[in-house]
Parts: sequence; structure tokens; C-alpha cells
Amino acid sequence: MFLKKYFLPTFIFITLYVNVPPAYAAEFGVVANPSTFGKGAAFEARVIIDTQGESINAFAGAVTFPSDLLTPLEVREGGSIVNFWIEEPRTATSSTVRFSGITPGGFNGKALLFSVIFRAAEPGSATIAVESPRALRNDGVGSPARVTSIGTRVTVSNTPASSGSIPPVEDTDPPEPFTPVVASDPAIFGGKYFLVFATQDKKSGIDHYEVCEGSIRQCGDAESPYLLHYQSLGRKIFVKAVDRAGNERIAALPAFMHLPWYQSLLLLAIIGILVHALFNWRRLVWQNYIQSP
Amino acid sequence: MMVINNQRATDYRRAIAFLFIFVALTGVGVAHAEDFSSTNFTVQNPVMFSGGLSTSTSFGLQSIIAGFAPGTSTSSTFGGNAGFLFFPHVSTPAVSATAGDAQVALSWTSSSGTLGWSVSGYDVGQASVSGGPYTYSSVGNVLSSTRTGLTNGTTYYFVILPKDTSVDANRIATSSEVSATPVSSGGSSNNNSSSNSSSGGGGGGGGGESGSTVTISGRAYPLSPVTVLKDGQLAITTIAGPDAKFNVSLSALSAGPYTIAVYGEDGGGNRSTIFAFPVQVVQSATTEIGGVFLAPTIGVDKAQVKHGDTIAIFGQSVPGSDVTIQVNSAQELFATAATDAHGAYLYNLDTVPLDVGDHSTKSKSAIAGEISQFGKTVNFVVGTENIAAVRSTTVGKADINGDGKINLVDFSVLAYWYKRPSPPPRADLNGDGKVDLIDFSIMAFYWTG
Repeated sequence: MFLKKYFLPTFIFITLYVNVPPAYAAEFGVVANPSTFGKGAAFEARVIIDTQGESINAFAGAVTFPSDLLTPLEVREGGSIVNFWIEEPRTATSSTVRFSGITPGGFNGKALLFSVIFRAAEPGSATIAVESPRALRNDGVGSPARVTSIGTRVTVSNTPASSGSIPPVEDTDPPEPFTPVVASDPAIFGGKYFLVFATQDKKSGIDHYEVCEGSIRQCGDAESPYLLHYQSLGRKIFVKAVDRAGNERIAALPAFMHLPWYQSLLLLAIIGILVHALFNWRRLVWQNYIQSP
Repeated sequence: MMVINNQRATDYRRAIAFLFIFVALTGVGVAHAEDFSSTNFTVQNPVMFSGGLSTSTSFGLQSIIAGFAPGTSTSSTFGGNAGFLFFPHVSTPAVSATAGDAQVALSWTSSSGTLGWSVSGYDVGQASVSGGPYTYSSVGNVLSSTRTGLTNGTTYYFVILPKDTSVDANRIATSSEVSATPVSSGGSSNNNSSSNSSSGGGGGGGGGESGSTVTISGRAYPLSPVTVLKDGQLAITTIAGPDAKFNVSLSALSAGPYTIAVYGEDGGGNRSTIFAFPVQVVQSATTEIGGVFLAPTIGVDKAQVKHGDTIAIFGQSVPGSDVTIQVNSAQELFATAATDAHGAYLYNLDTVPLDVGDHSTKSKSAIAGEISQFGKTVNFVVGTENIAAVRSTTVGKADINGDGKINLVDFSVLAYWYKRPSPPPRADLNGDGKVDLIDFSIMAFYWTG
């Protein structure tokens, strides 16, 4: 009686006539368009962040999906707002794609975090969503922003798909120019020299890096930070960034320190040739001197 | 004689109490003003609302509703201002313009309003002559808009105007003007210089490849370095002119989204907060970002000031600008100071009105209709003795390897210890015994590239 008499009018009055400030929350969303597929079809689910007016500089979460219905094929990071990945989104596990990364200086707006390419394995209805979403404010103390997560529901029909793949991203541009840095710090690798590197590819995204020490032909897959094999820093270093379309960008670092002379076979060979030539020249000059009248 | 039965009286009392509790719990209402009291009086500061806006074909009237106290009180220890002082604030957005085929894509940074102003949306002003007159379009509470139906080869000029939440949605600020010249597909689109183009330092960056270009212009500190980061990595540095204006360009960019960030360093080596701007770069086009306005730097001469003494609040901004200083205390205080020809400002704050305890201060700058965001916050204590201030070590703490920069090397050290047990104290930025997302967020805030 009391509630009916006073609470409802009070509530309605306040709701209608008082300007209550809205409570904004950063929103993680998953978008799949269209959302209905035939069995065997491949489709793209875009993971989006909308900061709703707040400046956010750190993002984290896990994209979850039913692994019995959907098979993750690959992750595409081209065009991501994240500048540096802490946990790069990978399809390593069958039902979760974890991610975390930062955008120095913060980001305010709506943008792509990454995309996941799925294959519709079995008929049914599946929800793809970001679980455990986290967004931290660009305020110097990492205070958490309020977050919400809006998933997407996709339906896989029994009808076999006409095509089982989606076209790759058209990309003929190499990754962005970058500069690797050699550093050492007692906090990691026991104070030994290591190499750090990072770049972006705006279209297809970075596939992998390779590091070559000494020769461009001696390369191996690598991740940053990379412990250098040759701690003397006497060899040139090449870092190759390869995007998902196969385009390459190579950054080279000169040798930081000169090798001891006896370690350089090339230098030894050159010195040997010069000594040999000098010896022959002196002998020739001496013979000419003797033979001269 | 009116008789009210007991039950009804109880209901009334309940209703009033319920309404009071409801309002208190939900925070409904607009009682943002600060009150203060003593044992024999209470002063309630009035609350200001934006008032009605009257217009006709020949005039416009803007007004405010406010109650002004008629008297002014003074004594040897305090002064009373008639009415009240208010500092409603909204930052002006930085704007980017990218020309396309018969269209121009605009995007801008969010304007933040405080102390009575709250941004509800934006108008786009468009003109074919620099400086207007503009034709205005309401685009809602968004941070981008594409203007279509434009004539290729014609230069268009744009401004962005944030609006408040009043019924009339008054325009409360105007951005710096940017321009763009649409061209037909296949041609190279072109952006002209901002009307506020720099008279100061300039520069260009990028490799020798063909590609897209981004130009960035704005205000920093006179004759001081300005650094531009591209996706968190150092792209270019330049020196601002004597008027604190700067203008730089990044070339050989691919099409796609970039985060462009700008920070400056004043004459005392104090770094500004980072001004970050997301921009969508279009293939073979030039994008112009105008109206970047770095917040003033700020410092105090004492970490602790004896109650009753003065504390100097100082820093640097644009020469000839008006700096508003906000002191965050139980009773919020505001003061203004003008910058000199070198952009320096100084305000000696009398601590008599302040309570003993912790306080903080920050500042913003305004010139020629443009207003910066608030800058960094500096803490100080009002206590029993004077203790000189020392430079904050917070930036140094994020600089894990101690090379004076916070960049990929520090990120890599932090990444190495991510979720590992027993990280070294240098890598645990917030001192909670672990390296997690919060430590990375702190590093991202202080990032220098």
C-alpha cells in the first residue's frame, strides 16, 4: 500500500524529470555478418572494443565459443587498435582465444581488436563472446573501467556450404618500417644481450618474425625479446617481419663491436694475401736489381 | 482547525524520508556545489544551470539562471566574492580531415566537460571559405562523420562544435579549423594547411616509399621539443616555434588505422601528458590533424607546505594563454594565471583556506577560443613544516632499464615477467607483488616511445 502510494509516483517523477547522468561502460563486442552459414563454411567474427567515451590503454579477455560446433582456423590482427600484444591472440586451444595488449597514450572510440576465422563444423546454434573482459583507464594507475560484453549468435544449417573458405586479405604492402633494439637488463636473461622488435601490418597482420645473426641466410623464427646467440655483438643482425600474405620487411642492425683480429677469417685471409703479394714484389724487385748491369 | 490523523501523518513522514533516502542513494539531483559550515553558520554555494536561449532572425540571447548574493564581505583573513565563481570547462577537440572522392572523412577527439558542462553531441561546421560562414549539421554524440556530396577540386573548411546537455544543446566550444580538397578516384587527394598552421617548428618523417601522409599541427611549449609517436613507436621529433605552435608530417604510411600520439617537454624538462589520436589513413591520401593542444606542465615548489604559508604552482603553456589552476581539496579551489612571453605561469597559493592534509592540483590552458584538457596532477601536503618538492619518480619507475625512455625495451622486460612468480621490484610498477595488466597500463600511460 505504502509502496504503491508513494514509491511509484516518486520513482516515475524522478525518472522522467531529473537528468540522471548515464553510466557508461566500455563494451567488448563480437560481430559476425551474416550470422547464418551452411555446414563447412568459413566465416569471420570481428572482436570490437567501444570505449564509450573513456580513454583506455589496456585490454584483455578471452573469446569463447563451442568447439564442437565451431573450429577456429586463424586469427587476423591487421588493422588492430592494439599496438603491443602481451598475449597475442592465437587459436592454440580449441575453445578459447585469449588476448591482452596495450595502446600507449590510450584509445577513445570504437575499433577492431582482432578477427577470428571459424569453420562451421556442425549444425546448431553457437554463441561467440568475450569472457572475462578487462579494460583499464589511461590514468597512470591502471584503474579498471566498467565493462560489458555483447556476444553474437551464429546458426549453422545442415545445408553444405558452397565454399569452405573466405578469401585472404588482399595485401601487397610489406609490414611497417621498424627498428630493432639491442639491450641488456639484469632482470631478464641473466643480464645478457637481447633483441627487441615489433611492427604492424595494417592489412593482413604480422604472421611471424625471423632473426638472422651474421648472415641474412642464417635465420630462424623468433619472438621478442630474443636472446642473442652471439653475445660479443660482433655480427650484423637482421630482423625479418613477415605478414600473413607473405610480404617481408627486413630491418638491419650493424655489428656493435669489432671482433678481435684473430677471430676474423676474412681479415686473416686479406692480410695473408697482402703479405704474400708484398713478399713476391720485394723478391721481384730484388731479382731485377741483381740482374741489372 | 485542521486535524490530520496519526496514520496519515506517519505516511507523510515515511514518504518524505523515503524520498530523501532514495535521492541520497541514487545520487539523483544536481547538488554538485560545495558547502562549508562553522559552528554558527552554513554557506551553501548555488548551483548553476545553463539557461534559456532565445533567438530570432536578427538576434540571439544566451542567459544563465543564477542567484547572486548582493553583498561582499571582507576581513583581514578572508574575502568574500559577491555571488559565486564558476569555471565550467570543455576541452576543444582535435580534428582530422581526409579527402576522398566527392567527400571528406572527419574524425575528432572526445571533448570532456566538467563543472557544469557535459557534452551531449557535436555539430559539424562546413564552409567553402576559411573562417566561414559555416553551415552546421548535428551529427549526434559520435567522433566521426563523412561529409558527402562535395565538389571535387574545391577546398572545404570544417570545425567541430561540442554541445552541452541543456534542452537547447548550446554549442560550448569550437575546434580549430581543418580543410580538405576532395578529388575524383584515381587522383591524389589533397589536404591544405590548417588556418591555424604553425609559424613555428616543422618537420617531416617517414621513409622514401610512396604512400599516405598525415600532418599534425597544434600547440605545445615555446621552442621546446615535440615528439610524435606512431602506433607507440617514435616517429619524429620537432621543435615548436616561439608561439608554441608546431606542424609535422608523417609520410609513406599504409592505409589502415593508426594511433598518433603527441607529447611535449617544457623548458624545464617536464613532460606533458600524451595526446593520443586514432586516425584512419586512406590509400594515397593526406590526412590533416589540427587543433592538438597539449595541456600545461605543472609543478609545485613544496612537497609539504606549512599551513598558512604559500605554495608556488608553476609550469609552462602557450605564451599569452590563460591557465586555470584547480586545487582538489575538501573545498575545491580555482585560480587563474596568465602566461608570460615564454609561456611560463606562476601562482602563489595561500594555504590559509586549505585543511591540513593531502591535496592535489592540475591545470588547463585556453587561448583564442581553444582549450586544452587538464594536464598531470601534482600532489602536495598541507602540514606543519615546509619541505621542498623533488621531481616525481613515477616516470622513472616505468623506465625499467633506466635509459630515460619508456619504450619497447621496458615493455619486453615487463612482458618477460608477466604472470611469473617473484618479479623484481623494478618490474612491479604498482608494487602488488606481481606483473599483470595493471603494470602494463601504468607503463602505457607514461610511454615515451
